[in-house]
Amino acid sequence: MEWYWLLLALLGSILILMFAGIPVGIAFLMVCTFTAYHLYGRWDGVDENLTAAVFQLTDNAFSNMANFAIVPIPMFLLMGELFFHTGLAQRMFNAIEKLLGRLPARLSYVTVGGGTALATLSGSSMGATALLGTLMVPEMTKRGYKKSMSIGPILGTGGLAMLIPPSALAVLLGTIAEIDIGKLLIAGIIPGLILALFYAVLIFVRATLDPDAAPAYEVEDVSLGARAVLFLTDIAPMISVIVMVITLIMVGVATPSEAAAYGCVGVILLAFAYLLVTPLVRFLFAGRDAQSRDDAAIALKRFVPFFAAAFWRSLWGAARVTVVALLILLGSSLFSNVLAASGASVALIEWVTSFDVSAYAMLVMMLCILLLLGMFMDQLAMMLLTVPIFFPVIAGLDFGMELPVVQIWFGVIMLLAMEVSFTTPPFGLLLFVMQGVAPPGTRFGEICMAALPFMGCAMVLIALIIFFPDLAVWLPFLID
Amino acid sequence: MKFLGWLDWAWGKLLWALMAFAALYIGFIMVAIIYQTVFRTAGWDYSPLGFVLIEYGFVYALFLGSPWLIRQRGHIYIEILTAMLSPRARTVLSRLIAFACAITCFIWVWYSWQLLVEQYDDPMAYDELRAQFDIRSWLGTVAFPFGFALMGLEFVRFMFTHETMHQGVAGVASERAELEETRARLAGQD
Repeated sequence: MEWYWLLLALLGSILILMFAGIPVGIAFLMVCTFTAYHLYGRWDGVDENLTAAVFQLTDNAFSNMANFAIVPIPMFLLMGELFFHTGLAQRMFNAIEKLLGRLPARLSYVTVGGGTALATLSGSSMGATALLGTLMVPEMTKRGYKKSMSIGPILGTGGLAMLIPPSALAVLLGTIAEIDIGKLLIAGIIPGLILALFYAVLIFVRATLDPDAAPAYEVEDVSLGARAVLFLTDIAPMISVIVMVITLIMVGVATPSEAAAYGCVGVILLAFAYLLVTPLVRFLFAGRDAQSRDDAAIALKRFVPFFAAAFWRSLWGAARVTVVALLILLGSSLFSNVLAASGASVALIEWVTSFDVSAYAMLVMMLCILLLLGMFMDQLAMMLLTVPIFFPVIAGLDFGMELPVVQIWFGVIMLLAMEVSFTTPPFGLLLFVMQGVAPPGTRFGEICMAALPFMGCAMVLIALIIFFPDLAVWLPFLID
Repeated sequence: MKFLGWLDWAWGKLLWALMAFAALYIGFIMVAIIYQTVFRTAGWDYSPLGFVLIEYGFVYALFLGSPWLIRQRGHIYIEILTAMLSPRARTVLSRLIAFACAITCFIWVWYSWQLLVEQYDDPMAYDELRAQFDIRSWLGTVAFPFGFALMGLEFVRFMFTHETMHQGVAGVASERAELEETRARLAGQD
């Protein structure tokens, strides 16, 4: 069989199986098994070649999964879960709300600022969107905000979790594509912050053009001193954990795996400090009144069961996503092996690079495929399907940059494209999450319309990164 | 029927316990990394076995946790076609899908079991990547047949249970399950 028919059959059958509703990891397993039969076996029985091929696949699957490079996935997930379950994430969000004071479209800015911080801390788009939707949308609706100004920013900032480190999805992308995970994580910082800035500018422009979309209202005045204290006590310590993780990776003191584990310990220490040490210190040094005595007694009594429950829930949540990711990795490793064994991937690269089309035209084509797939597929499935094909193709094209730089650059573009696809109708995940937590009566169409301008911001950023690659690759290669 | 119900309950608890091992393993990774980096930085002696346990643990975690996730509809699968079908047609398709998944898992049980036996019988089959630890190859492969068997059984279960694997709500199954958990958690915090 010609390589293109084989490739078409492989990709086509995977897509059909996935649309039929077969679990993604199992769909890949099915296709790989079938292809192994086709390439190595006889249909009238099991022969030695086939057995050897499946033995090799099993061995490869083991080697790819028993891999220290994927440690940051569970560690970053655990870190995010700990932030959520110990209440630290919500504490910081509340502090950001108090800090912003009186502004037109204040709550939309709170959503962007708090949401970016929340998504960064938690690394979970789902969790951040669900929490923001539950906390902010009822309040914004009560204050007369239009849907575009209440739901839109939440959908926009929710997706930032996969771009700004610590992002488990970036680690998975780095693992599947076999590129430097630390550099890919660092590369997401500047684009992530630019995107948050774009969102803030978008809100400013809309609030200026249509003041009724987000009416201003009176808020409790917080003095400058109180704001400084609030920042130092409720925001700076949380951010310092993220800064520590990023710095450890950037300066090369720790690998992403080690930095992620230290991040988890940092969150645990913060939880100790906030939930146990602070009430005790307040009681011992700031006045032994009845209130602080009660607070200290409650903290002593409740800390252990609360923390134990939060820690267990965090372990469970991290394990849940890790196991799903591992099954995906299993499918991915087999798919890459089958593609390589069939010769389809090499032939595809030769075919693609033989055209007299610019590398950028190829890049745009790949982006279009990602956006199209994102309308119907989950991000992990998209990654699994496209990474084994796109990354070798990208490596064969000439963008005027060295290969490691191109790979990181394309990795960031891919993460951004997946972020856009998170909110692309009809199956963008965050649209469904939003519908689940939005006030009753919110139509799906309204949610989609609210997401559009924020998707536009991400598209503009993708274009900027394509034309100015330094936005993504300057920081990670700075240390080199 | 009562016995089958009890068996299903006990089986579910067993799978939960296996998933709990996978969750504890995540905690172990954190402790093992901190232990090794602290000891290494301080210049103290430490056992590098932690790295091996972490790496092997990923394979075990996958096969320990996956059966429970299949039961909870926690793996990623997309409901587009099943959401468009009538309940009767959806039930038929869902059971067919469960059957196909079960067959795939059992094919892997068959091959990985053969590999396991071959490696067990071969006294020279050692993990070459971690040669300094003298780890027999079958210790890595053993997770495959057992894990795939448990997964296959869970798919078989979906062929016969009243509630099918697919629920007919458009979207991604695992994410819906996670969303429901998040909402329940937020409701609990209120």
